[in-house]
Amino acid sequence: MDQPEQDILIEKFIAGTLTPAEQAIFDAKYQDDDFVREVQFQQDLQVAAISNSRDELRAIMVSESPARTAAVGHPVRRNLYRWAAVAAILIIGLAIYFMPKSLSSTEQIYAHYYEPFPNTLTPITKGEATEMDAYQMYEAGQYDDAIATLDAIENPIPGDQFYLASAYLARGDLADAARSFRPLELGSSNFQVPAKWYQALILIRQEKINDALQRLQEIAQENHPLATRAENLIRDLEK
Amino acid sequence: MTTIETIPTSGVVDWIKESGNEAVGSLYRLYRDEFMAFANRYSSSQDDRLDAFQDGVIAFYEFCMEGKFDPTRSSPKTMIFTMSKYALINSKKKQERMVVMDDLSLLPDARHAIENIVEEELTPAQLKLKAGIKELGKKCQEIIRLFYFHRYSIAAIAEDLGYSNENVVRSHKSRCLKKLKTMIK
Repeated sequence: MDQPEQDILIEKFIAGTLTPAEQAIFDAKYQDDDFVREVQFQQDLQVAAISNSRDELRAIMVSESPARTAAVGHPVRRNLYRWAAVAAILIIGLAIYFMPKSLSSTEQIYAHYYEPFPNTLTPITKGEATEMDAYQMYEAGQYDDAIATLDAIENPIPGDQFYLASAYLARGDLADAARSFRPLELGSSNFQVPAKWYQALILIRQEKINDALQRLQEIAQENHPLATRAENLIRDLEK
Repeated sequence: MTTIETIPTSGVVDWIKESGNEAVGSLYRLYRDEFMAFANRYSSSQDDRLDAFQDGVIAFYEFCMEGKFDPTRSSPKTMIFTMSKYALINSKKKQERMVVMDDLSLLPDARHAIENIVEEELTPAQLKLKAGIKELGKKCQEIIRLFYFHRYSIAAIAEDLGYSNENVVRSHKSRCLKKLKTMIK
């Protein structure tokens, strides 16, 4: 088979128009490394071309859109939770860093280590309209309203679940908070480690120190900003 | 000017094929605000809703270009809204590795069209090619777009771009691919 014939065979494969006889020839040629490389290259090229064309279509639509956070599509959207979680953890970290060092009872330890998780998803901004979403109700300390709103969401995302649990905890409902943090602990979202952290604090408050230590040791093994806090808390508990 | 509002549902596919990118802008303008209000119950984030709606419009556009949209079974608006809703709910679940909703109101072909967009993840080689295509000349970019995205036949490309015959297109396409391979080495 000469080069032009081979090109036409791959062209028909990409277009999905191979006849059964051509498919048999294609399959036989698929033993040849150079042929496989060329097919793979053109399949990759097709994915890249489709992606470029979709970007162009998105750009047309973005130009028709009101002002928005991200210029085009997915990358910013998909990193939002990661950055929000990192920012919130830094805030918690600073609060913990400046706390008193000598702690005696589990209640004192809880009080010193517990800091409500900041609202990083849709923070209230100055001069904004009065209508608030659930995250903003949480930030404003309207925990009952935030719980009612978040609990009514039919398909909650991890952010909804996390702030529902955090609102319960801020309101002092330890059992509801623990129940709501639980699925996040078992999941793999960016809220997994923060959920485990708060679960450990709840367990300390409930005087279930061994269970708390187990979670803290898991956090300490993570490559996560809360790992150092977990190590400090373990040391305080073991004093 | 012809817009989707002035043509019968049965003529939507032909209109989209003829109008191309302009059809996307027109569909977007026509249904955006209504979808944003409709989807508020699924997400309070305007950006997420806009992203999902864009994905839905693109999926519908590709669905029509592939000749799979059947206007006797669904209106363009219903199809776009269902695809966008699917994108809104499932992109979040996918992102957080949760169980993806199986929307039975979407036929398998339509579900595949929107999944294909929501799940788009490029390998490093594909990302290099994506950038490489943009460095090629206009003619190469056009041939690649028509063949690999719009799935035009070589004969249709020859006619569309005014080449004298298919062999000229094949030879031009071959040079474009060679250039691309050198660029990404």
